[in-house]
Amino acid sequence: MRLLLINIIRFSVLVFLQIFVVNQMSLGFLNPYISIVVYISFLFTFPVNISKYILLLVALFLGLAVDMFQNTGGIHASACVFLAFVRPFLLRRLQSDSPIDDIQELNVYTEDLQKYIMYCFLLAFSFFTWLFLLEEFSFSRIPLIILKAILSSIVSTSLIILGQFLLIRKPKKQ
Amino acid sequence: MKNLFLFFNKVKFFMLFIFLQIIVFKIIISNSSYQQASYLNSSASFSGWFYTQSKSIKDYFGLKEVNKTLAIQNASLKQESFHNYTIVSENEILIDKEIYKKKYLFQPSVVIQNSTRSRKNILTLDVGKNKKISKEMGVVASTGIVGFVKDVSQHYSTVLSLMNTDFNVPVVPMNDSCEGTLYWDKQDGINQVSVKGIPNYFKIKVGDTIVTQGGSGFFPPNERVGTVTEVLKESGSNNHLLKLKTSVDFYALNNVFIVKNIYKEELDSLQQTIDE
Repeated sequence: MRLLLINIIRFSVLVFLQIFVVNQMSLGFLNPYISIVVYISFLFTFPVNISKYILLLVALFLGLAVDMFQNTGGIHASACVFLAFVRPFLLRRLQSDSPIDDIQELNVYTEDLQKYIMYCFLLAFSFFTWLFLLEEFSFSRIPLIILKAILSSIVSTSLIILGQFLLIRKPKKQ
Repeated sequence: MKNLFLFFNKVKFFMLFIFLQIIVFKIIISNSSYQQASYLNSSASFSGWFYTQSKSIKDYFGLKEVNKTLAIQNASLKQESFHNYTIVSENEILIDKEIYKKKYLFQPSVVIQNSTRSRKNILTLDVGKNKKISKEMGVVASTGIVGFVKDVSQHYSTVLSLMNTDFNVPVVPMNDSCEGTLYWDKQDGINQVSVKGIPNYFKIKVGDTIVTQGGSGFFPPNERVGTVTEVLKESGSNNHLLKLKTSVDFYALNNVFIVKNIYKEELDSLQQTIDE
Protein backbone atom coordinates (compact mmCIF):
# COMPACT_ATOMS: atom_id res chain seq x y z
CA MET A 1 0.00 0.00 0.00
CA ARG A 2 2.75 2.40 0.99
CA LEU A 3 4.69 1.45 -2.11
CA LEU A 4 1.66 2.20 -4.32
CA LEU A 5 1.20 5.62 -2.74
CA ILE A 6 4.88 6.49 -3.15
CA ASN A 7 4.78 5.51 -6.79
CA ILE A 8 1.62 7.50 -7.54
CA ILE A 9 3.16 10.61 -5.97
CA ARG A 10 6.42 10.04 -7.82
CA PHE A 11 4.50 9.64 -11.10
CA SER A 12 2.72 12.99 -10.76
CA VAL A 13 5.75 14.87 -9.44
CA LEU A 14 7.97 13.64 -12.27
CA VAL A 15 5.43 14.50 -14.98
CA PHE A 16 4.95 17.93 -13.40
CA LEU A 17 8.73 18.49 -13.24
CA GLN A 18 9.12 17.45 -16.86
CA ILE A 19 6.38 19.72 -18.21
CA PHE A 20 6.76 22.86 -16.12
CA VAL A 21 10.45 22.92 -15.26
CA VAL A 22 12.59 20.86 -17.61
CA ASN A 23 10.65 21.69 -20.79
CA GLN A 24 10.95 25.41 -20.06
CA MET A 25 14.75 25.28 -19.99
CA SER A 26 16.65 26.37 -23.05
CA LEU A 27 20.10 25.14 -24.00
CA GLY A 28 20.79 27.80 -26.63
CA PHE A 29 22.39 26.48 -29.80
CA LEU A 30 22.32 22.91 -28.42
CA ASN A 31 18.53 22.91 -28.38
CA PRO A 32 18.02 20.86 -31.56
CA TYR A 33 20.53 18.22 -30.42
CA ILE A 34 19.69 17.64 -26.78
CA SER A 35 16.30 16.98 -25.32
CA ILE A 36 16.24 16.48 -21.58
CA VAL A 37 13.81 13.89 -20.29
CA VAL A 38 13.68 13.22 -16.55
CA TYR A 39 10.29 11.59 -16.10
CA ILE A 40 11.66 8.21 -17.29
CA SER A 41 13.37 8.05 -13.89
CA PHE A 42 10.02 6.65 -12.72
CA LEU A 43 10.59 3.57 -14.89
CA PHE A 44 14.23 3.24 -13.73
CA THR A 45 13.26 3.08 -10.06
CA PHE A 46 10.09 1.03 -10.56
CA PRO A 47 10.07 -1.90 -8.06
CA VAL A 48 11.50 -5.14 -9.41
CA ASN A 49 9.16 -7.46 -7.57
CA ILE A 50 6.16 -6.13 -9.51
CA SER A 51 5.36 -8.02 -12.69
CA LYS A 52 6.94 -6.77 -15.91
CA TYR A 53 3.53 -6.87 -17.59
CA ILE A 54 2.25 -4.23 -15.20
CA LEU A 55 5.36 -2.19 -15.92
CA LEU A 56 4.46 -2.18 -19.64
CA LEU A 57 0.99 -0.83 -18.90
CA VAL A 58 2.28 1.76 -16.43
CA ALA A 59 4.84 2.90 -19.00
CA LEU A 60 2.04 3.34 -21.53
CA PHE A 61 0.08 5.62 -19.19
CA LEU A 62 3.18 7.56 -18.19
CA GLY A 63 3.98 8.24 -21.85
CA LEU A 64 0.40 9.20 -22.67
CA ALA A 65 0.32 11.66 -19.76
CA VAL A 66 3.43 13.39 -21.08
CA ASP A 67 2.14 13.29 -24.66
CA MET A 68 -1.05 15.00 -23.62
CA PHE A 69 0.87 18.00 -22.32
CA GLN A 70 3.52 18.21 -25.00
CA ASN A 71 1.28 17.63 -28.05
CA THR A 72 3.66 14.94 -29.24
CA GLY A 73 0.78 12.69 -30.24
CA GLY A 74 1.89 9.35 -28.79
CA ILE A 75 5.59 9.06 -29.54
CA HIS A 76 6.59 9.37 -25.88
CA ALA A 77 4.12 6.60 -25.00
CA SER A 78 5.64 4.38 -27.64
CA ALA A 79 9.19 5.06 -26.46
CA CYS A 80 8.20 4.43 -22.83
CA VAL A 81 6.66 1.09 -23.71
CA PHE A 82 9.85 0.20 -25.56
CA LEU A 83 11.92 1.15 -22.51
CA ALA A 84 9.73 -1.02 -20.27
CA PHE A 85 10.17 -3.86 -22.74
CA VAL A 86 13.98 -3.58 -22.67
CA ARG A 87 14.27 -3.22 -18.88
CA PRO A 88 13.85 -6.87 -17.79
CA PHE A 89 16.61 -7.98 -20.20
CA LEU A 90 19.00 -5.34 -18.86
CA LEU A 91 18.12 -6.22 -15.28
CA ARG A 92 18.98 -9.85 -15.87
CA ARG A 93 22.31 -8.85 -17.39
CA LEU A 94 23.38 -6.24 -14.87
CA GLN A 95 22.13 -7.92 -11.71
CA SER A 96 23.42 -11.41 -12.05
CA ASP A 97 25.28 -11.69 -8.72
CA SER A 98 22.81 -10.33 -6.16
CA PRO A 99 19.27 -11.56 -5.51
CA ILE A 100 16.90 -8.90 -6.79
CA ASP A 101 13.52 -10.29 -5.83
CA ASP A 102 13.29 -8.61 -2.46
CA ILE A 103 14.35 -5.14 -3.59
CA GLN A 104 11.56 -2.59 -3.36
CA GLU A 105 13.03 -0.12 -5.79
CA LEU A 106 16.16 0.46 -7.80
CA ASN A 107 17.94 3.68 -6.96
CA VAL A 108 21.46 5.00 -6.46
CA TYR A 109 21.59 3.71 -2.87
CA THR A 110 20.29 0.18 -3.36
CA GLU A 111 22.60 -0.62 -6.29
CA ASP A 112 26.25 -0.50 -7.10
CA LEU A 113 26.65 3.04 -8.46
CA GLN A 114 28.74 2.20 -11.50
CA LYS A 115 26.37 -0.55 -12.58
CA TYR A 116 23.37 1.66 -11.93
CA ILE A 117 24.71 4.48 -14.12
CA MET A 118 25.35 1.99 -16.91
CA TYR A 119 21.84 0.61 -16.52
CA CYS A 120 20.28 4.10 -16.64
CA PHE A 121 22.36 5.15 -19.61
CA LEU A 122 21.48 2.07 -21.68
CA LEU A 123 17.79 2.43 -20.90
CA ALA A 124 17.83 6.15 -21.70
CA PHE A 125 19.72 5.45 -24.92
CA SER A 126 17.14 2.90 -26.11
CA PHE A 127 14.38 5.33 -25.15
CA PHE A 128 15.87 8.24 -27.08
CA THR A 129 16.75 6.18 -30.15
CA TRP A 130 13.16 4.96 -30.40
CA LEU A 131 11.81 8.46 -29.73
CA PHE A 132 13.93 10.23 -32.35
CA LEU A 133 13.28 7.49 -34.93
CA LEU A 134 9.55 8.03 -34.48
CA GLU A 135 9.95 11.78 -34.54
CA GLU A 136 11.83 11.76 -37.85
CA PHE A 137 9.89 8.79 -39.20
CA SER A 138 12.70 7.88 -41.59
CA PHE A 139 15.93 5.94 -41.54
CA SER A 140 17.73 8.46 -43.74
CA ARG A 141 19.38 10.41 -40.93
CA ILE A 142 20.50 7.56 -38.69
CA PRO A 143 23.92 9.08 -37.74
CA LEU A 144 22.30 12.30 -36.54
CA ILE A 145 19.66 10.34 -34.61
CA ILE A 146 22.36 8.27 -32.86
CA LEU A 147 24.34 11.42 -32.03
CA LYS A 148 21.25 13.11 -30.62
CA ALA A 149 20.37 9.98 -28.64
CA ILE A 150 23.86 9.70 -27.11
CA LEU A 151 24.05 13.40 -26.15
CA SER A 152 20.53 13.41 -24.75
CA SER A 153 21.07 10.23 -22.74
CA ILE A 154 24.29 11.54 -21.20
CA VAL A 155 22.65 14.78 -20.08
CA SER A 156 19.39 13.17 -18.95
CA THR A 157 21.11 10.31 -17.10
CA SER A 158 23.40 12.65 -15.18
CA LEU A 159 20.44 14.83 -14.19
CA ILE A 160 18.46 11.79 -13.07
CA ILE A 161 21.36 10.38 -11.01
CA LEU A 162 21.99 13.77 -9.38
CA GLY A 163 18.28 14.17 -8.72
CA GLN A 164 18.12 10.77 -7.03
CA PHE A 165 21.07 11.66 -4.78
CA LEU A 166 19.28 14.85 -3.79
CA LEU A 167 15.69 13.68 -3.49
CA ILE A 168 15.70 10.05 -2.37
CA ARG A 169 16.33 9.44 1.32
CA LYS A 170 19.29 7.27 2.11
CA PRO A 171 18.08 3.97 3.61
CA LYS A 172 19.39 3.06 7.06
CA LYS A 173 21.83 0.20 7.29
CA GLN A 174 20.30 -2.91 8.84
CA MET B 1 -1.18 -28.05 -29.89
CA LYS B 2 0.60 -28.26 -26.57
CA ASN B 3 3.78 -26.96 -28.16
CA LEU B 4 1.87 -24.05 -29.61
CA PHE B 5 0.60 -23.07 -26.17
CA LEU B 6 4.07 -23.42 -24.73
CA PHE B 7 5.37 -21.18 -27.48
CA PHE B 8 2.73 -18.54 -26.77
CA ASN B 9 3.52 -18.74 -23.10
CA LYS B 10 7.16 -18.05 -23.89
CA VAL B 11 6.51 -15.00 -26.07
CA LYS B 12 3.56 -13.50 -24.23
CA PHE B 13 5.64 -10.60 -22.92
CA PHE B 14 6.69 -9.79 -26.45
CA MET B 15 3.07 -10.15 -27.63
CA LEU B 16 1.86 -7.64 -25.03
CA PHE B 17 4.63 -5.27 -26.11
CA ILE B 18 3.57 -5.55 -29.76
CA PHE B 19 -0.09 -5.15 -28.82
CA LEU B 20 0.58 -1.92 -26.86
CA GLN B 21 2.77 -0.57 -29.66
CA ILE B 22 -0.07 -1.15 -32.14
CA ILE B 23 -2.43 0.84 -29.91
CA VAL B 24 0.09 3.67 -29.61
CA PHE B 25 0.74 3.72 -33.34
CA LYS B 26 -2.96 4.09 -33.98
CA ILE B 27 -2.91 7.17 -31.74
CA ILE B 28 0.21 8.54 -33.46
CA ILE B 29 -1.29 8.13 -36.91
CA SER B 30 -4.59 9.73 -35.94
CA ASN B 31 -2.60 12.65 -34.54
CA SER B 32 -0.19 13.18 -37.40
CA SER B 33 -2.71 14.35 -39.96
CA TYR B 34 -4.31 17.60 -39.00
CA GLN B 35 -7.61 16.92 -40.76
CA GLN B 36 -8.52 14.20 -38.29
CA ALA B 37 -9.70 14.87 -34.80
CA SER B 38 -7.07 14.10 -32.21
CA TYR B 39 -7.86 13.59 -28.58
CA LEU B 40 -4.44 13.57 -27.02
CA ASN B 41 -3.59 17.24 -27.04
CA SER B 42 -3.24 20.23 -24.79
CA SER B 43 -6.53 21.76 -25.90
CA ALA B 44 -8.10 19.30 -23.47
CA SER B 45 -9.42 21.24 -20.52
CA PHE B 46 -7.31 19.28 -18.02
CA SER B 47 -3.89 20.17 -19.39
CA GLY B 48 -5.20 23.50 -20.64
CA TRP B 49 -6.02 24.50 -17.08
CA PHE B 50 -2.48 23.64 -15.93
CA TYR B 51 -0.96 25.65 -18.73
CA THR B 52 -3.16 28.65 -17.92
CA GLN B 53 -1.91 28.59 -14.33
CA SER B 54 1.72 28.38 -15.36
CA LYS B 55 1.18 31.12 -17.98
CA SER B 56 -0.28 33.47 -15.39
CA ILE B 57 2.98 33.22 -13.44
CA LYS B 58 5.25 33.47 -16.46
CA ASP B 59 3.41 36.54 -17.78
CA TYR B 60 5.26 38.79 -15.35
CA PHE B 61 8.60 38.00 -16.90
CA GLY B 62 7.55 38.89 -20.44
CA LEU B 63 5.87 42.22 -19.75
CA LYS B 64 8.72 44.27 -21.19
CA GLU B 65 8.67 42.46 -24.54
CA VAL B 66 4.89 42.60 -24.75
CA ASN B 67 4.87 46.33 -24.07
CA LYS B 68 7.37 46.91 -26.84
CA THR B 69 5.38 45.01 -29.46
CA LEU B 70 2.16 46.69 -28.36
CA ALA B 71 3.76 50.11 -28.66
CA ILE B 72 4.94 49.34 -32.18
CA GLN B 73 1.52 48.05 -33.11
CA ASN B 74 -0.15 51.12 -31.64
CA ALA B 75 2.12 53.39 -33.63
CA SER B 76 1.29 51.65 -36.89
CA LEU B 77 -2.42 51.78 -36.14
CA LYS B 78 -2.19 55.45 -35.28
CA GLN B 79 -0.66 56.17 -38.63
CA GLU B 80 -3.70 54.71 -40.33
CA SER B 81 -6.09 56.78 -38.30
CA PHE B 82 -8.47 59.05 -40.16
CA HIS B 83 -7.08 62.27 -38.69
CA ASN B 84 -3.71 61.73 -40.28
CA TYR B 85 -5.16 62.10 -43.75
CA THR B 86 -5.59 65.48 -45.32
CA ILE B 87 -7.79 66.36 -48.25
CA VAL B 88 -5.77 66.37 -51.44
CA SER B 89 -8.07 68.60 -53.40
CA GLU B 90 -11.64 69.72 -53.22
CA ASN B 91 -12.32 68.25 -56.63
CA GLU B 92 -11.54 64.67 -55.67
CA ILE B 93 -14.43 62.25 -55.94
CA LEU B 94 -15.60 60.96 -52.61
CA ILE B 95 -15.58 57.20 -52.55
CA ASP B 96 -18.50 55.75 -50.71
CA LYS B 97 -17.25 53.76 -47.74
CA GLU B 98 -20.08 51.28 -48.26
CA ILE B 99 -18.37 49.65 -51.21
CA TYR B 100 -15.85 48.14 -48.77
CA LYS B 101 -17.14 45.28 -46.71
CA LYS B 102 -15.29 43.57 -43.93
CA LYS B 103 -13.96 40.14 -44.89
CA TYR B 104 -11.66 39.17 -42.01
CA LEU B 105 -12.33 39.41 -38.32
CA PHE B 106 -9.53 39.22 -35.75
CA GLN B 107 -10.01 37.48 -32.41
CA PRO B 108 -7.28 38.41 -29.90
CA SER B 109 -5.88 35.59 -27.79
CA VAL B 110 -2.93 34.64 -25.63
CA VAL B 111 -0.42 31.84 -26.24
CA ILE B 112 -0.44 29.75 -23.06
CA GLN B 113 1.90 27.02 -24.25
CA ASN B 114 4.60 27.26 -26.86
CA SER B 115 7.07 24.62 -27.96
CA THR B 116 10.17 25.11 -30.07
CA ARG B 117 11.92 21.81 -29.42
CA SER B 118 10.31 19.21 -31.60
CA ARG B 119 9.92 18.84 -35.37
CA LYS B 120 6.17 19.21 -35.02
CA ASN B 121 5.70 22.24 -32.83
CA ILE B 122 2.23 23.07 -31.63
CA LEU B 123 0.96 26.06 -29.66
CA THR B 124 -1.99 26.27 -27.29
CA LEU B 125 -4.24 29.34 -27.17
CA ASP B 126 -6.67 30.39 -24.45
CA VAL B 127 -9.76 30.70 -26.67
CA GLY B 128 -11.92 27.93 -28.11
CA LYS B 129 -15.44 27.18 -29.19
CA ASN B 130 -16.68 29.74 -26.66
CA LYS B 131 -15.31 32.47 -28.98
CA LYS B 132 -16.56 30.69 -32.13
CA ILE B 133 -13.11 29.44 -33.11
CA SER B 134 -13.18 26.53 -35.51
CA LYS B 135 -10.60 24.34 -37.25
CA GLU B 136 -8.36 25.68 -40.01
CA MET B 137 -8.56 29.32 -39.07
CA GLY B 138 -5.34 31.26 -39.58
CA VAL B 139 -3.36 32.66 -36.67
CA VAL B 140 -1.28 35.84 -37.02
CA ALA B 141 0.79 37.91 -34.66
CA SER B 142 1.15 41.66 -35.06
CA THR B 143 4.33 41.15 -37.10
CA GLY B 144 3.36 38.20 -39.29
CA ILE B 145 1.75 34.79 -39.65
CA VAL B 146 2.05 32.13 -36.95
CA GLY B 147 0.06 29.06 -38.08
CA PHE B 148 -3.46 27.74 -38.21
CA VAL B 149 -5.87 26.14 -35.77
CA LYS B 150 -5.61 22.36 -35.54
CA ASP B 151 -8.00 21.33 -32.77
CA VAL B 152 -10.57 23.20 -30.73
CA SER B 153 -12.12 22.43 -27.37
CA GLN B 154 -14.56 24.47 -25.32
CA HIS B 155 -12.02 26.94 -23.92
CA TYR B 156 -8.73 26.15 -25.64
CA SER B 157 -7.37 25.53 -29.10
CA THR B 158 -4.15 24.09 -30.47
CA VAL B 159 -2.32 25.69 -33.37
CA LEU B 160 -0.12 24.03 -35.96
CA SER B 161 2.75 26.50 -36.00
CA LEU B 162 5.00 27.49 -38.90
CA MET B 163 7.70 25.49 -37.13
CA ASN B 164 5.96 22.23 -38.00
CA THR B 165 6.88 19.91 -40.85
CA ASP B 166 3.17 19.42 -41.63
CA PHE B 167 2.64 23.10 -42.33
CA ASN B 168 2.49 24.60 -45.78
CA VAL B 169 0.79 27.59 -47.28
CA PRO B 170 0.98 29.48 -50.62
CA VAL B 171 3.10 32.63 -50.46
CA VAL B 172 4.20 35.37 -52.91
CA PRO B 173 6.98 37.95 -52.87
CA MET B 174 5.70 41.40 -51.99
CA ASN B 175 4.59 43.32 -55.11
CA ASP B 176 4.99 40.27 -57.33
CA SER B 177 2.71 37.45 -58.38
CA CYS B 178 4.84 34.29 -58.60
CA GLU B 179 3.41 31.80 -56.15
CA GLY B 180 5.58 29.51 -54.04
CA THR B 181 4.92 27.08 -51.23
CA LEU B 182 6.11 27.82 -47.74
CA TYR B 183 7.21 24.85 -45.67
CA TRP B 184 9.50 24.01 -42.77
CA ASP B 185 12.40 21.94 -43.95
CA LYS B 186 13.94 19.29 -41.70
CA GLN B 187 17.23 21.19 -41.70
CA ASP B 188 15.68 24.55 -40.84
CA GLY B 189 16.13 25.93 -37.35
CA ILE B 190 13.65 27.88 -35.31
CA ASN B 191 12.62 31.21 -36.90
CA GLN B 192 13.73 29.91 -40.27
CA VAL B 193 11.50 28.61 -43.09
CA SER B 194 11.88 27.62 -46.74
CA VAL B 195 9.94 28.50 -49.88
CA LYS B 196 9.96 26.30 -52.96
CA GLY B 197 8.29 26.49 -56.35
CA ILE B 198 9.15 30.01 -57.51
CA PRO B 199 10.63 29.80 -61.07
CA ASN B 200 14.13 31.26 -61.27
CA TYR B 201 13.32 33.78 -64.01
CA PHE B 202 11.74 35.83 -61.25
CA LYS B 203 14.49 37.93 -59.77
CA ILE B 204 14.59 37.57 -56.02
CA LYS B 205 17.25 39.19 -53.87
CA VAL B 206 18.35 38.73 -50.29
CA GLY B 207 16.26 41.04 -48.12
CA ASP B 208 13.03 40.79 -50.12
CA THR B 209 9.84 40.42 -48.14
CA ILE B 210 7.60 37.41 -48.64
CA VAL B 211 3.89 37.76 -47.87
CA THR B 212 0.86 35.46 -47.89
CA GLN B 213 -1.03 35.03 -51.11
CA GLY B 214 -4.43 34.82 -49.48
CA GLY B 215 -6.01 32.45 -51.95
CA SER B 216 -6.52 29.60 -49.54
CA GLY B 217 -8.64 31.73 -47.22
CA PHE B 218 -6.64 30.96 -44.07
CA PHE B 219 -4.83 34.28 -44.01
CA PRO B 220 -5.61 37.72 -45.38
CA PRO B 221 -3.46 38.57 -48.42
CA ASN B 222 -0.28 40.60 -47.86
CA GLU B 223 0.27 39.32 -44.34
CA ARG B 224 4.02 39.28 -43.67
CA VAL B 225 5.82 35.94 -43.52
CA GLY B 226 9.50 36.84 -43.45
CA THR B 227 12.49 38.22 -45.27
CA VAL B 228 14.76 36.31 -47.64
CA THR B 229 18.16 35.46 -46.15
CA GLU B 230 19.44 33.07 -48.81
CA VAL B 231 18.58 32.32 -52.46
CA LEU B 232 19.45 28.75 -53.47
CA LYS B 233 18.56 26.50 -56.39
CA GLU B 234 16.05 23.71 -55.90
CA SER B 235 17.76 20.49 -56.97
CA GLY B 236 16.41 18.95 -60.18
CA SER B 237 14.30 21.89 -61.29
CA ASN B 238 14.46 25.47 -62.48
CA ASN B 239 13.02 26.83 -59.30
CA HIS B 240 14.40 28.96 -56.52
CA LEU B 241 14.76 27.55 -53.05
CA LEU B 242 14.47 30.46 -50.67
CA LYS B 243 15.45 30.50 -47.02
CA LEU B 244 13.54 33.03 -44.96
CA LYS B 245 13.85 34.51 -41.53
CA THR B 246 10.36 34.68 -40.09
CA SER B 247 9.14 38.11 -39.07
CA VAL B 248 7.61 36.55 -35.95
CA ASP B 249 9.99 35.51 -33.18
CA PHE B 250 8.77 32.06 -32.19
CA TYR B 251 10.79 32.08 -28.99
CA ALA B 252 8.78 35.05 -27.72
CA LEU B 253 5.17 34.58 -28.76
CA ASN B 254 2.59 36.17 -26.51
CA ASN B 255 -0.38 37.88 -28.10
CA VAL B 256 -1.77 36.54 -31.35
CA PHE B 257 -4.93 37.02 -33.40
CA ILE B 258 -7.10 34.31 -34.87
CA VAL B 259 -8.33 35.23 -38.34
CA LYS B 260 -11.97 34.49 -39.05
CA ASN B 261 -12.72 34.63 -42.73
CA ILE B 262 -16.40 35.50 -43.12
CA TYR B 263 -16.57 34.05 -46.63
CA LYS B 264 -14.53 30.90 -45.94
CA GLU B 265 -17.55 28.59 -46.11
CA GLU B 266 -18.62 30.07 -49.40
CA LEU B 267 -15.11 29.66 -50.82
CA ASP B 268 -14.86 26.06 -49.63
CA SER B 269 -18.24 25.00 -51.05
CA LEU B 270 -17.34 26.63 -54.39
CA GLN B 271 -13.99 24.84 -54.50
CA GLN B 272 -15.72 21.57 -53.66
CA THR B 273 -18.04 21.87 -56.64
CA ILE B 274 -14.95 22.32 -58.84
CA ASP B 275 -13.44 19.14 -57.43
CA GLU B 276 -16.55 17.07 -58.12
